[in-house]
Amino acid sequence: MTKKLLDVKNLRTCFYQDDKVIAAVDGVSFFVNKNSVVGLVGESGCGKTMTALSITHLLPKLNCKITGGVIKFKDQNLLGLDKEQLRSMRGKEISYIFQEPSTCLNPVLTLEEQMQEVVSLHRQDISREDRREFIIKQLKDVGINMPGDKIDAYPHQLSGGEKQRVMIAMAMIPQPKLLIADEPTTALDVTIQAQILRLLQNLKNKYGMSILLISHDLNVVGQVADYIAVMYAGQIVEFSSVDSLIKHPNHPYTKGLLNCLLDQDISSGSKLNVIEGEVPRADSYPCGCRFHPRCPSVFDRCKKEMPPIFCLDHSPQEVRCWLYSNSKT
Amino acid sequence: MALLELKDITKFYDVEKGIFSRHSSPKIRAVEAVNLSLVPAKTMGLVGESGCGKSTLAKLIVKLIAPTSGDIFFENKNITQLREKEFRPLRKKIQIVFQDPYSSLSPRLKIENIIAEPLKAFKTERKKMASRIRELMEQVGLDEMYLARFPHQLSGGQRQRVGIARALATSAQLIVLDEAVSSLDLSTQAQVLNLLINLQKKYKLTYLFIAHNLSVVRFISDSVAIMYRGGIVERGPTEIVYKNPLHPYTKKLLASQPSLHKRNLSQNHKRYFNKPRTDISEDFSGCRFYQSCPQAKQRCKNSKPAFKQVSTEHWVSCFYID
Repeated sequence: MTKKLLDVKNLRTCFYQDDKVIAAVDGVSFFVNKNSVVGLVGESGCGKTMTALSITHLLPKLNCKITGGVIKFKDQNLLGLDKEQLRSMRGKEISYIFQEPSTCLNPVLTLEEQMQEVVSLHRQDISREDRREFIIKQLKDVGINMPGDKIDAYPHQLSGGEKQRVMIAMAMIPQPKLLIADEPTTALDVTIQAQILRLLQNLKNKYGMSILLISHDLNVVGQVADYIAVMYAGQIVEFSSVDSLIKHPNHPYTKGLLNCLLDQDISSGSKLNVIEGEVPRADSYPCGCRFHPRCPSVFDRCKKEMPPIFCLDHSPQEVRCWLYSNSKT
Repeated sequence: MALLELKDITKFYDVEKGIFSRHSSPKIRAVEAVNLSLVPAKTMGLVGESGCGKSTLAKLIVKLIAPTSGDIFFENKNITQLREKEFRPLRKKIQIVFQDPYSSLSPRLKIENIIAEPLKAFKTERKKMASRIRELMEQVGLDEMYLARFPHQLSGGQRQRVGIARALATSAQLIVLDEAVSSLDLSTQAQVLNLLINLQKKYKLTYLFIAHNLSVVRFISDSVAIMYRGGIVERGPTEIVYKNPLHPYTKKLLASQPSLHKRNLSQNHKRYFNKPRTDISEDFSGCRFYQSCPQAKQRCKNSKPAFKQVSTEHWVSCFYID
């Protein structure tokens, strides 16, 4: 058995809009080791959420399709599974925390009612009588005060942080091996954000699960992740451990991002470094390297050919950039 | 001399009560006894968690709502009681940029008309209007071709530039930036921040920069005020407050700040997160941070700490400053 829990290779997911085919995710490869946290970072619209939805097969059915690649989970290709097999995998093995906690909870059900549903589906080992007790324990596990009272509350009676905790508690019920957390702290205040990040880290250590943490905020991801995948315009442009990403960022986009990161040490008055230009829209990606119109070190080849993924020496560090063309692909 | 001064500004909201309700309704104390003064051509940052009253304060300053008590002075003139007609000439000078560039621009107007609106409101001559709009577009770094477009055709960063152009249109002196860069991506956020700084230098603008992101505030502000549950708990020059925070809430905020270079959530802020928070009752007379404060004592529950001056411009509202 390998160390890899999830291994995504060359994933391609397309939107069908009018007559156009838009590749929202185009050749994405990365892996998640057991008991580790991988951060998926990128600007809005770069395909982070689409990648996560592809892994769990939760894409909008109407106009969206995975058109290529392999998603291996525990050495089993998820793309080859039928509906029933997928269903048992989803939720039980892979749990998902969606972006906005307030819209994900059913407003007309109490916490107990909505959590009962998950317990009855995924935890047949818990008898009907023990369920309430179990749910209270789960709520306590994620740090909810007075879980015995809160279990009968409706979502609108909870604060934003509490709602997010409930979402996490629900995702933890089946004891998943992999937790996908899509912007779990974006809607929260800094102090609450710190609490939720700590909670995720503690749960990971306690239950030995892995987390795929999706965020637009490099600072947030840096707090808890072991590996970071930087995404730009539907592709992962750099994938490496957090330490080497900070010490040797390779892709010009990563360098740019780190440069315009407002760190605590930056003093007022100085001019901020910026990445010029705008993020391209999914229906009009430039040809060649997708970052080339904004890249400070662009040369001819970048405009014509799409760079493949190059592996660097201090592995595992992968970069999609022609600057590293003498490394092996 | 301060450009804008708030003296004991207080805003209570009535909680809507049902028609048959016989009880006197409780009030929400959104902003309570806030004192602030904005120095011309400088930026003051206002930080606090959601629901602490930041936006209410912003609305009070631009007079979108009236205060329950207290006074607002603009250029040493008390504007609190001014009627709309008398206030109008001043409205030119006080403008606001809203948080969400998606909902603050009318989806049915072209960019040209959006920027023209304040100009029309203040009766700019039609001949001058077109050239003024082009000038504004140039100032915020937008190409003229966007004039004929609608907001939905623009990216978030471009939309926020339109919002800034609209605020600049009437040659404002004071601009209230209510979470103006919060919804933008990292690379665009940096661009807009640089734009704001350039504009400030060029036109001697005064900013009240409201945000929840501490590092952005540190970058752009000369001085900073920390707000908690309707009141200001600490204020002072940015570098002094960030390097030497005195109020326990400021310390908590700074400790929660995520950073790529400071990995593994610092143990230091663990002590701030043990206490649950419940809602403050209306007649609560103690320190507003009492319930979450790691060093709270009986005294904090019973009486409100006064605003104490610790150094020239550094003020803190806490009994126990170590």
